[in-house]
Amino acid sequence: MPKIKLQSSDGETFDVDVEIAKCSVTIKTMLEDLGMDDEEEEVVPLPNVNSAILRKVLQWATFHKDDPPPPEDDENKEKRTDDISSWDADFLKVDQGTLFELILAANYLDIKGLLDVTCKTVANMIKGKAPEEIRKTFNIKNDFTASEEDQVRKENEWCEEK
Amino acid sequence: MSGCFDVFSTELLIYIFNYLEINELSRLRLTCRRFRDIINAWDNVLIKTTTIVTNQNNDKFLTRCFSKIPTKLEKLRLQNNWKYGIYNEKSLFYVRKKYMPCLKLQKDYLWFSRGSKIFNYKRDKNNIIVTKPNFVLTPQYRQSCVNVGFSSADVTKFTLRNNILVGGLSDGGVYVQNLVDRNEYYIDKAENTFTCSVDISPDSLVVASGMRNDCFKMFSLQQDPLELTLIHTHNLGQRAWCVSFSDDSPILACGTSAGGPTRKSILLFDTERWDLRTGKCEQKFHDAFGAGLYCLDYDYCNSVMVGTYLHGRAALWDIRTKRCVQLYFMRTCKGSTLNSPIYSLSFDSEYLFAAVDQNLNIMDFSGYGRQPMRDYVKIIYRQTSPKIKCHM
Repeated sequence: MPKIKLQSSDGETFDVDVEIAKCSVTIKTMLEDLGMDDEEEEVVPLPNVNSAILRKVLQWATFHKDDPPPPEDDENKEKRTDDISSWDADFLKVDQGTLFELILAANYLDIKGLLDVTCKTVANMIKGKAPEEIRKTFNIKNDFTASEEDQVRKENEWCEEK
Repeated sequence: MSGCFDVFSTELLIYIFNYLEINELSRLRLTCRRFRDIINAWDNVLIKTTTIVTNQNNDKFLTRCFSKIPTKLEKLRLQNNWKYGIYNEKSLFYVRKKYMPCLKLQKDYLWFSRGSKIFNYKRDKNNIIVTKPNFVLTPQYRQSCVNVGFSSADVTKFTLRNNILVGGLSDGGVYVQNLVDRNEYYIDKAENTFTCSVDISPDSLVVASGMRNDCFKMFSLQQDPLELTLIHTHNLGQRAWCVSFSDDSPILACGTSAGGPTRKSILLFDTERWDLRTGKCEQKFHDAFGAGLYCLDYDYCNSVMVGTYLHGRAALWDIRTKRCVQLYFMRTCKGSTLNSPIYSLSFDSEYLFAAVDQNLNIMDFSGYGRQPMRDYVKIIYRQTSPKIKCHM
């Protein structure tokens, strides 16, 4: 199987099957546009991804290499967050910093499957939490003035649980 | 800065927020300014539901909406108020004598006719309307006519289009008034009958009216000086209670006392929606109490409000469903129940205006909170309690 070399931001090089690397639309387009020859030992630099995250991404891509392409987003379809496979759930048992970096990497490399599952994981961390708990979980600073906060609270009253 | 959303672009945050439901999104708005602003600006994308009454996706409906509802979450909040009968009521302009008033709603003005007068009130954020009229019109004969001076007949119906007001009078007169130059007015009165209905064509060239003596009349309208010339009289054999010109095709619709072979009709007991292309009735809505219907208004999208002949009752229908959304009972200024038809009504996304025999009633649905709830539909259909859980 043809291989390709990917270089992380901190200079580490990874030998990867081209087919696995191509699950990233960014890399796939790059290879096609540049007409990179399979014969040559090309190195693709990925300045936005460090080696720890790239290793995780490749681990994910290897496990999912035979997955059918993810369906196109349906505007009106209800989005579920309870359909994360157990392998993915285990894979994503990481600290929040890693999870966020995986999202950034999946977004940069344009790997829809990985972006979906990581974003779902974050959505699940938001669900069912009160605003104060959300702030605490994600280290968000409350920058509202008292009257701004009151206004949003007033607007929200109707859809809060009794 | 790991573990903090600062590293995410707006697009990425929206991608994540897309997985959340409405109540989670509204709660998330409470965490910080950035989230609030993103959700407010993008809630049309994030929340994929259509609302009733508060949709505002039709320009014609917007010409009578006092405020443009800024966000989808606000639309949902207001829809919830309409759905479960959460409103504050005002009953204005009580008189002893009973009349058959008529009203028309515009973005900045409310027009209200009672007896021989037509009142123009300015709409106002704090008081809904300024109760001192902006100006008052009394149908007036022009100098050269046989009848001179103010008409003493009641205004039965009126309509507005392109700065022209057309009204029907209880003595069979048809009144036109230029609203820019208020010295320009004209009354056509040929016979002693009762004008049930009037409308003016979109190009302001033709005025149609239905009379109690089963006659249907068409006039051409001249400007400079303002004048009506009878061009067509037709005996329908039944009373034309309602006439209406189509906005986009040369069709005149007419609702008669017996339904009849007409295009757009309000039958006595049903609210019907007709497809103008086929001339067939598309849908029928049966009033829950089988009561006669006196008036109707539409948001040009999916909400129809009808006024019934008893108990000052209005009913809101969602044309996508077979069920009545909610019933609203007008009350007297003292808060007791009322036994009047609703003669005329109109609504925008926040207010319902209803003209009853002795009052003008206004329901304000813009308030916050969940109370008081006057959910009559729940009793009628024995529904389970409202569960606010919407999916995107």
